[in-house]
Amino acid sequence: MTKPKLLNVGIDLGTSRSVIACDNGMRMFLPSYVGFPKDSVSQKMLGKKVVFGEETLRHRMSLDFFRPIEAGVLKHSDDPDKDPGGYGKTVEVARTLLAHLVEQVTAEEEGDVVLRGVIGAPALASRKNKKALLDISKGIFETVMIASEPFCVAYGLGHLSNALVIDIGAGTVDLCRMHGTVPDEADQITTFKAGDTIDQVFYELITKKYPEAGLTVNMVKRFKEENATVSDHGDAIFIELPVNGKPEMLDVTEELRGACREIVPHIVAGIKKLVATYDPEFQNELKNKVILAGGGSQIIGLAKEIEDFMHTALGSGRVTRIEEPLYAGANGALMLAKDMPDEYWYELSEA
Amino acid sequence: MKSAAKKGVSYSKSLVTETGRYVRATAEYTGLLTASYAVRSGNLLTSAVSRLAEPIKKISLNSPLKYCRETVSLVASLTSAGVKGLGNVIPGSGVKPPVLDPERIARIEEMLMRIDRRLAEMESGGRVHRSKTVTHAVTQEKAKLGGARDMLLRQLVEANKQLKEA
Repeated sequence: MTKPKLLNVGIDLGTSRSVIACDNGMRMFLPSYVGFPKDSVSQKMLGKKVVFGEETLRHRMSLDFFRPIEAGVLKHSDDPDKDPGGYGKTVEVARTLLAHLVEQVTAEEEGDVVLRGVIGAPALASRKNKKALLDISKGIFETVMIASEPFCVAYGLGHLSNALVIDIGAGTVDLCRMHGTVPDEADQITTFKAGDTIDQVFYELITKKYPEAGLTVNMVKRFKEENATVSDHGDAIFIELPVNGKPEMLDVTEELRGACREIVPHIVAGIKKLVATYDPEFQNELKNKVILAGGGSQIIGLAKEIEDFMHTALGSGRVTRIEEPLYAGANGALMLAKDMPDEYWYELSEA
Repeated sequence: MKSAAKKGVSYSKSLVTETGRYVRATAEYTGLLTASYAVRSGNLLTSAVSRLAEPIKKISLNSPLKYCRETVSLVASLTSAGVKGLGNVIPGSGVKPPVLDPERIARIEEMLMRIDRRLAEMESGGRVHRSKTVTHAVTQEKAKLGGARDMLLRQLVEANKQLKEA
């Protein structure tokens, strides 16, 4: 009998996107949406019992639509006893999503596989939030570990000391300073003014400027993902929206810039706090190693905007946007899983 | 007698003049002939070389060799630019190195980010990729753990054990 193949997996379950990287070389990301057909007719039409990612948005009229992650954590996981039914459903949906992700990256494997995984959680996720992640991974992984998302990013990049990682997601912005140990609460700040806030503000600003335009938050979200900027350079930005049923090109340059700038003051306040409370001897080093990660770091001009603020408020600062911000968390989690000695995994499985 | 001598001198003078004319004409003719031979030989040589080189040129234009040619010319141009740049910063030359325009840099950065985003879009839609170059995490072999890194992993395991037991 052949021994099952051991695979390590790194996972970043995000409010907007879930990302997975496996040490067999496969990786993927998927919008964190899950849909179940409303009835037998829609099931017949879709030809499947469950739909994931973008496809859920295309067929959302015929689906029970779920976004199991909210503000970076599993919905209802702050207090599962408050709404046990809601929590149970969320766990089921999130597990389905996780199983789908794992299935996608292990589909080409022949024979049995044993999976070990590291799942990223927001910097200040509570114990209950983390327990919920363990709940959804039961039956999927042989052993699983939870690690702070910005810590995973820093680990993946090898910036384990005197570095400040800012992970800009849809639900949260996590700031985490690294000083050679696993960061504790004092080293991390989570703000909830993140990608979803930008979508909401952008939606409101467009509706205010063009009250007759027909749009949804999902429409502006997609548009934002392709055009987000805080830079004053560049061309005017136009969005095509139906106005009284007729598609029209509407100038939304200022609205998009304004919405994207909405998150900046919260990020810079976090940076200021983490720098000011750091060992003065290493503050300069910390200021010069600020790393932007996550989908939100793709906002054009954001690194420079933060840098400008740091020069004004803190005297100096250097902000670097990492390559592949989308995969940074999952890659770091995978590296953790791979670097973890077998005896540590064994200890954890026996605990 | 005097007139005979005069005639002899005049004859000698005209003979010298005529000889000089012949010598000059001969030299001119020889020069023209040589030049003509040189030009014809040159043309012949050029034509022969181009006939020989034409197929090679065609091959180099329409084959992977063109990349070599392009690379060589790129390297040459970069080297030349580098040498020029070096000249600019030679102390005492009075020429200062060019100041980089921050706005231009910002624009270039924006362009690069747009390209990055486009690449991310291309990867979207839940498509699975077999990544070879991008995730060094994926390709990197299990590294020998340094003391600090090992300590980090130990802390993480302990935190997770506590979480499981809670």
